[in-house]
Amino acid sequence: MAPWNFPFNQLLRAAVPNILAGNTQLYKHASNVPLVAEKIQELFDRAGFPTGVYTNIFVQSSMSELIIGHKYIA
Amino acid sequence: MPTLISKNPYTEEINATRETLSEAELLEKINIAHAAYLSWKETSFSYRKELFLKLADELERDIDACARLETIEMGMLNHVARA
Repeated sequence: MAPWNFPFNQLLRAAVPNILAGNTQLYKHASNVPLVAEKIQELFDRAGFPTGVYTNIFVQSSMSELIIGHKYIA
Repeated sequence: MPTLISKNPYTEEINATRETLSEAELLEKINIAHAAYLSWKETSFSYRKELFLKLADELERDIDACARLETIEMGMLNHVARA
């Protein structure tokens, strides 16, 4: 879950080391930057990352507890 | 499902709207990411590096569009967004 300022920077500085280390990443951008969120997903897809390695999720903040508490989420 | 709204902070013009995921859709995405993790973690660092270099190429290719999105969605000055 990310704040709204510097959406590209915030995502890349978290995703690059995380995914390079062998993890996959689900990312909930701030609610006011959905087009940036979609663009980042598009860039990952065009670069050839396998499905599911990076995933943008459009969810309400009320789902945070569900996400954080899920057994597959670290 | 609730809607996300992309709005230009200067003009208040709505750029786009997007629907949020249902709980079932979210759980499906989590399962897909987990399945991807099980194979992704076995890939080589050099393979992962190559993909990120391609990502960098794609970002550079689309720098104008990416900067414009940051400008119209959250008011970042274009030259700052390009940096």
